[in-house]
Amino acid sequence: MGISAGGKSGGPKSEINITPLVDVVLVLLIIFLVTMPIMMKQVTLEVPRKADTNIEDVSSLGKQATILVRPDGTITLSDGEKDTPVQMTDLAAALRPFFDGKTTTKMVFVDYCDPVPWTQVVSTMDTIRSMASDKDHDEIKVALKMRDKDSSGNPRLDDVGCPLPPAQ
Amino acid sequence: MAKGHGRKHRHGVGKKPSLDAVRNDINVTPLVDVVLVLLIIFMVVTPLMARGHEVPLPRTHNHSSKKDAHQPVVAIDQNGDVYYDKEKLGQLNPGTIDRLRTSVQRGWDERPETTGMIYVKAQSNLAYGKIYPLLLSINEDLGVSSIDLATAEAKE
Repeated sequence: MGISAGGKSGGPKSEINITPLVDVVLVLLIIFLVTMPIMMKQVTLEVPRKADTNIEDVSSLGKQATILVRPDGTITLSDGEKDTPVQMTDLAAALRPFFDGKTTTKMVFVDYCDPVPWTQVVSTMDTIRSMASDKDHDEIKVALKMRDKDSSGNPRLDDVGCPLPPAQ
Repeated sequence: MAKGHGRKHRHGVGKKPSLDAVRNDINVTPLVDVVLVLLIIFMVVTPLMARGHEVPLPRTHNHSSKKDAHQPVVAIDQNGDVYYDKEKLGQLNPGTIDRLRTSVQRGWDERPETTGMIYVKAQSNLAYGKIYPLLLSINEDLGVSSIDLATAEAKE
């Protein structure tokens, strides 16, 4: 009887109010349920057929930017006629003229020397895509430059301007 | 007096249910238990849901975040071993390429809407020279002309 005195309506309740907790937990649960279809973060790389590339190069696309990244981090930007050395930090600025006023597909061909780590490969693609004006970044296409093959069918390195690995 | 006593007695009777009778508020404790357990299950399972062999991915700012289309996932790890989804195929050679082609084709047959799509997860510190043959082979042997490269969100 004495205990029940505190339980009288109007008196302070001794139970914890868990309603806000339940609210928060349910909302968290719903958030997790909604985000379950995992978002895949991706950079799309075009791998044009060699023949297609040549045709496009000549007919519709005009001047085409090609970059070559070397293991020491130096970049050579080529517009098909002359090569320009560029620093990694200036890459976006150097590529800008290729995109300004261009209405056809904006495409940059990329090539990397063999020892360049993958993280640097993707980071240059990231830089190139950062120049897209729309939020989706798919406006600028990054295309892999196909290398010529030697007689045994292996990709050749010597003609792209990379330092060759020491001969065994 | 009798009236007062009667009221007191009634009062006593009225008090009794508040101690022993059925409580009329919902007992939410089991609900909270279940929801918390579900929450923990989801928190634990979500990172495990990532598809393909797990490799450290390069980080980017300007990636596109697309919903998983359930296209085939090909991964290449530190040692240059190629994986289809979580299945290890080994070093890239004509035999591996053949198995990869079969597996990827099976993936496309199961989900025809993903035909021609592929998701490549390559370890961030691997040299380009190790990955180029894989990309080349995906292009030439599998006929894919647009490869999705897996990246992770760059930390600021």
